[in-house]
Amino acid sequence: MKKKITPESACVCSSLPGPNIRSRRLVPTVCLLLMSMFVSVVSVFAQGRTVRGTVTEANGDGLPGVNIVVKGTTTGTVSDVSGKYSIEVNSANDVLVYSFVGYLTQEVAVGNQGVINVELPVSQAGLDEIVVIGYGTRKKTSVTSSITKLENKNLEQIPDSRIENVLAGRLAGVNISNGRNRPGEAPSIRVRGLGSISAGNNPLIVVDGFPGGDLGTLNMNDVESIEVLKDASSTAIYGSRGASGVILVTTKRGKEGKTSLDVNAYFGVSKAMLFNDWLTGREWYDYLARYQNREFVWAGGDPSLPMFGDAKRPQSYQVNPLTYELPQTIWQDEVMQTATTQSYNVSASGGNDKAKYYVSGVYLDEEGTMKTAYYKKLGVRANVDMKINKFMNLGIELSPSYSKRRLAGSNMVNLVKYPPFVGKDRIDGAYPRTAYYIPSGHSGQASPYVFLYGTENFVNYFSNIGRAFLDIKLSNDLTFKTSLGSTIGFSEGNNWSGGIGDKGVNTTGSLSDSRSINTVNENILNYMKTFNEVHSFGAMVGASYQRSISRSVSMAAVANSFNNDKVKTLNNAIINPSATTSSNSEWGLISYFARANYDYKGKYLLEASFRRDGSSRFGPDNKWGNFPSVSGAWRVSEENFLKSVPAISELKLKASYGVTGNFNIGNFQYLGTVSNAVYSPGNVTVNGITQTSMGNNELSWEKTKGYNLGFELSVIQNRFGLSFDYYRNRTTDMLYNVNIPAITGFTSTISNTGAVENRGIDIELNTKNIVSGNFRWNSSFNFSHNTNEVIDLGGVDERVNDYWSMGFLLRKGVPMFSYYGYKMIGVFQNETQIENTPHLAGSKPGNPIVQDTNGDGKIDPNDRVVLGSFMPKSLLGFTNEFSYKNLDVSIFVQASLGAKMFNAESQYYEGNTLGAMRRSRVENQWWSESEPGDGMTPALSLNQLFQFNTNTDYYLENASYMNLRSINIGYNLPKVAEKLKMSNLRLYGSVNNVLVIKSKYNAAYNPEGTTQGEVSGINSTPGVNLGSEPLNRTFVFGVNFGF
Amino acid sequence: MNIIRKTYIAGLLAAGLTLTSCENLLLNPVPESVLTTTNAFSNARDLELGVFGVYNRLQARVPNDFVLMEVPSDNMYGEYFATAPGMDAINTLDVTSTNAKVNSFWQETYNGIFRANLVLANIEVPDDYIAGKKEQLIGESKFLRAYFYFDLVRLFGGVPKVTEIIGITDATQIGRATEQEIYDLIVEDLTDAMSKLPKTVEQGRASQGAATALLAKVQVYRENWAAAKTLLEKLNSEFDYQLLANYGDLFEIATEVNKEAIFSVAYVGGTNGHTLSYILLPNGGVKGYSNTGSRVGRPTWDLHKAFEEGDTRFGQTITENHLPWNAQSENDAFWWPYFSKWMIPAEIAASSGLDIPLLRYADMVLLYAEVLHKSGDTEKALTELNKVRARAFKSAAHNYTMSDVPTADAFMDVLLNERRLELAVENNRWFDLVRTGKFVEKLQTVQGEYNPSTGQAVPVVRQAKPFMKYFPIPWEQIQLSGKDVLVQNEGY
Repeated sequence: MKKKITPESACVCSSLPGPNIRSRRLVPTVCLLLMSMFVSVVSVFAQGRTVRGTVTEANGDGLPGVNIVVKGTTTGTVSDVSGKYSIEVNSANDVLVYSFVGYLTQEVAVGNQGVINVELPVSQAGLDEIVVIGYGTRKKTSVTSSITKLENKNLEQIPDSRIENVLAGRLAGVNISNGRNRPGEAPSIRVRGLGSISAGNNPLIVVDGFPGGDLGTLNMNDVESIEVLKDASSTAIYGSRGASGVILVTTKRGKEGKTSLDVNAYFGVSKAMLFNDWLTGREWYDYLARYQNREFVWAGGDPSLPMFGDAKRPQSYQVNPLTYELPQTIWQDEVMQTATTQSYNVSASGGNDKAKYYVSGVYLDEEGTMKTAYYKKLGVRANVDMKINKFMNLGIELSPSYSKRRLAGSNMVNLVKYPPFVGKDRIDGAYPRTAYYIPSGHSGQASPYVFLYGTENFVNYFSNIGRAFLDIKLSNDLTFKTSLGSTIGFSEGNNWSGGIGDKGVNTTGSLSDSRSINTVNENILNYMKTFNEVHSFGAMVGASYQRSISRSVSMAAVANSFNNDKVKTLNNAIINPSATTSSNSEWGLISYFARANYDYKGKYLLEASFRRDGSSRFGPDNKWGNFPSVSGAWRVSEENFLKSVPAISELKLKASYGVTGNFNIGNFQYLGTVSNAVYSPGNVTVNGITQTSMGNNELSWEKTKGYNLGFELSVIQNRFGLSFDYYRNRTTDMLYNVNIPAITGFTSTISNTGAVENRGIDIELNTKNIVSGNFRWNSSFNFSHNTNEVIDLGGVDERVNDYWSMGFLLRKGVPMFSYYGYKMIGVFQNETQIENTPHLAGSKPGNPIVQDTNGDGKIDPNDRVVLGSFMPKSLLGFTNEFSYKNLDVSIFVQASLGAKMFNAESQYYEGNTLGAMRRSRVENQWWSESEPGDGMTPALSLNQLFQFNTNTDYYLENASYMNLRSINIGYNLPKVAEKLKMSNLRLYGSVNNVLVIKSKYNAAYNPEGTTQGEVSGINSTPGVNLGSEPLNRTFVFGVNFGF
Repeated sequence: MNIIRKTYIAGLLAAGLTLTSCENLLLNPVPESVLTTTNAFSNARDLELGVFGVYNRLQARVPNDFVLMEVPSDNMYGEYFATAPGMDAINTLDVTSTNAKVNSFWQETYNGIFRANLVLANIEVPDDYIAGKKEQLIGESKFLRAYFYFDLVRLFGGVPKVTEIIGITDATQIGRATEQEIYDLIVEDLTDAMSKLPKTVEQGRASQGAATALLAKVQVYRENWAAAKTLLEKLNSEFDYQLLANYGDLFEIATEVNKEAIFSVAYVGGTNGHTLSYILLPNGGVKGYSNTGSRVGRPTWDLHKAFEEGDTRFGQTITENHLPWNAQSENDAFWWPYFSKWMIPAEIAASSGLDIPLLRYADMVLLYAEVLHKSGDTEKALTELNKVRARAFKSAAHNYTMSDVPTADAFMDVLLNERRLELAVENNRWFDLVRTGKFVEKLQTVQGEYNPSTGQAVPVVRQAKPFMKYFPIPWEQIQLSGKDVLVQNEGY
């Protein structure tokens, strides 16, 4: 898991990722050969002498593949299979640098020696491992707060168009989930739970120091490492935006030495994980007849009447035998496909002591497993570092990225719920509907193919994060860094949909266009000094100025005004003036910050920071917020009494406290805004106006105060590393639209009200199970547990928002937006039973028996209970990396436990719309007293849905799962590479979502599926699934080679 | 070297300091695309646009009014609620205080009142009114405010009386005014509106006639027969309203502006339309009219059979056989009665341009008949009632005679029946039953879907009780108010 940052090295092999996966013994041999060719060229010009020697491990074994360079030059070599090397030096003043990943770098002055044998000790507890923190770096050992680091080791070989999905489960305390599994869809990232209702829970993304980046435009091939700042003391330096955690991405940079070129490409296919219990033909008809008879009996009808053709049975309760006589279609299988996925990446890096560069380009193309959907991305990155003089360094970063996404015309449910008797081929130029075969009763909706092929929704996105910075070394202890960066984003949406022959479908078209430019200037003064060799002191002060301006435009056609289906842009239609608009907006942020850290003998560490932020988004008197933090650590293992215990390599205790803020609300919300309110006097549409928000001059920062207690322990020469954190974060003055009495004219207004708390633990365990010999095995395991609790709602005890009759509860003492409804305890069999049992008003046989919670003999809203939460309680990730000679395997398992989903999608497959049915959704139902099903499945009917079914826990399903999320198998071919003049050649295969284990009571395509959003405001309905797309199993074959 | 570095330090610090002058730019940007209360209402045009903003609220609410005003009556029963929690309970009169439909009606209506109050609060700001404009805007705001309160007082009884802009703290302390106080406000507003509104106005705006008609209707609800009589006679003598020859013309776009429509809410298809033209239609749409329908509410068999043979209103109100949008032939039609009153051949059924009349002359004629009867002149009352009836049947053959109404009860039965047939799906039936005290008797069980083969209709059990004359005050509103400030209606 951990990799040490090695000094810049001249060896091409330094571009290879860590040692744990690949064999060290053969790849370097190739490098060695290449290098010796290179060195021999150099030696023509150098009038030096040769130094020889052997590099060994602590146990005396020769260490192959070690980079050996003459310091300050591009001259270098690599040790051979037995650790031997030879290198040309120019003078006795030269210094040789020996480095290898996972080992401590050694420097040896050549002097007059001809033979230099070096022993490289294994890196102890990542002694020199560097961790990126806000506005700086720290040695891992000096970190006093809670930070999780992930190195990019072959992660670019996991096929996914969004890098978030690759990270999911690998970072303790970070929950990455995919509510909608569509190509290019942004997953949600939650660090240590949700602390905000309306101001967003997305962590701040900082790419190479630039705040406000976007993981969606990043290319995993470019990523060097990712750090997640989790506790309030590490995020407080980003004060204003740290409350939901901070993700720091460090991209690759050029190193001194030979130019290297690296190519990574994969190609493969994806298959969706689908249901296989769809009913067709007679079986479908039989259940439909049961369904209609049950309805007919409730309406007082006689079920013994013939199902079809007898006028005594009203049309609405008849079932036409054509439904099974016609050829059958399982729509799920028609709308899905085996999709291709591919990615090609080329990068080059290199440089000398004056300039270093890293450039790359990527093309990625992911087809949807749902027909017509796709995501394509083209990205380029250039990171250039230049040394201007002895005290000035200049850096420039550019990362333009362009993506194009086509969204399928509908979610899953509208496509697969269609009745099986409707054919998939066009008839008379149109895809047939149910009414083509049977005039009434069944879905009036158009064919699923009309949704798919008659919808063209495209989202094009261009963005560039660019930054230039200047480092000035003012003295040996003092540096100044100033940077100017900007994110430019252009997003454009083009939508067209029509009936493509089906005249019952309206033709509509719209476009949207938004652009934003976000500029940041940061100035940082950094001071570092060690006094008397034991007192290390560091200080940083800085200022940051950020401004974002944006414009958005949208236009729409008057429905059905397109002249034809040939041209789908709006010039072929009449523009709808009331749906056409343009507006500008902006926000600004000024921040001043300072940090000081002190360490005594690397034993006692203390750090404190302070940030003051001013935001344009708040009321005139409350624009500024203060965000302090303090943290400390005690490295017990540095104390004499523990130094004598050789088994313990590192033991550190740490504690921290900090305050962070959140300002992620809309611009100008403190103002009482006046918006358009259209009316048409004289049949002429006019933009009337009215006040649409109440305004709140007191509006201010949402604040999160939190502390973190933890320890880090490494034993047996760093082979077993454990870190543990306990945290408690309380968000107060929450920004949200609190409901207010409607007689004010408004139903809600934004205010600072209420508090919510997240507390829990994060555990990371890294082990090197087998470290020597041909077979090596490393594991890393993480576990996190979070509890969310509403502490205060500002004067009221609870709020319930009903969606589809399911309550979403905010109540003191329970997790926010918990499910709230009736607890089902059985199914009514007959009228007598209903009369003798407390029941919901209007209950009929087949409806659920619900719990009379307060025992008052009647069922009313007071009997509703908390039924669970959409938030997982625990998350697990487990990576195992094996290598045997040239073969390496990485297996990653991830799990989410304790969440529940409101899987109302299932209601569509139970007969309710007289559409497609799944056997597992109908076979256990209560159909009649003589066919009572399993006793826990009520009569599922459209007419009973809201009054009896969705208001109970019947559709609440266990959303826990364990996913064998990826397997990556690679084989390195050093001999072939050598023949091809390559520095390395690796063939690999990756499989995603190999095996998903979930509750047998979970009937969703995707156990994480949600379609109605997560938490974004007081009326949030998180955890609701109404047709989320299935998970895909993806198989790719890839090749990675370099020169 | 040191000097150079010091120069850099000085220069950079100076640069850093100058950035602080950006503070105003960064922290106090002026919203470019947002109007705010500080600058929105400054001239006469702004205030007129503000009045359109009040109409906008009414325009948005009216297409859904049938949920509270027709579904619980014996005209309509709910058919499909899949996307409308709360409607099922209204259908069976199991309305509780947490009913979502009741709460949203309350919220929307008070928002309309707020918008009217906003105009009135700012009405003195501009100094560029042309003659009469300020009075018109005051009149319209008060008319609309009265309209909103009339809806509230009929549905809930006494409600909080808000006539100015109030803050949250104040709002939590305002309890319910009495029914009388609300009616007093309505009368006061409408009287003022009558004196300020012009006689002729643009389509979709309130006129003097509209204020007069609404006040007359209010006085009938208050059983102030003399006051109502004066107003209705004023309406007859001073204005030129008349019944259209053809009932169906009231519900056609081409004739939506006419001499019978006293006040209609204006809509423009496609850009500013409503959903009422398809929301009651069958799911498969209707051939030649609409490619879709939401089947939310359907005609009861009680209403269906109340129409007599030859009544032209029947065909406009109810269509018995359903011919789906993409039916192959007329033979595909089958028995499935639905409300077709608002159905128009529409390019986009979901955005219908058909104006919705809220006050029309036939309503006034029938109110006048009622007032005349209550004033003791049943004979003249019958003459008025028969005007509506003769128009419906296109002949006088079905007119009532004095022998048809031997008693006062018999007259009221005839009158209420006529109002029911004339004004079905125009949101009058529930209120007519409640104000005449007949709702408990009429709403025990209504007849839902009728099967012509068996002659049976599916019963919809309502079991109305006297306390149900008012809907419950929404639970959320009670909760958001101060303790014991908003008192719940009896029975809930």
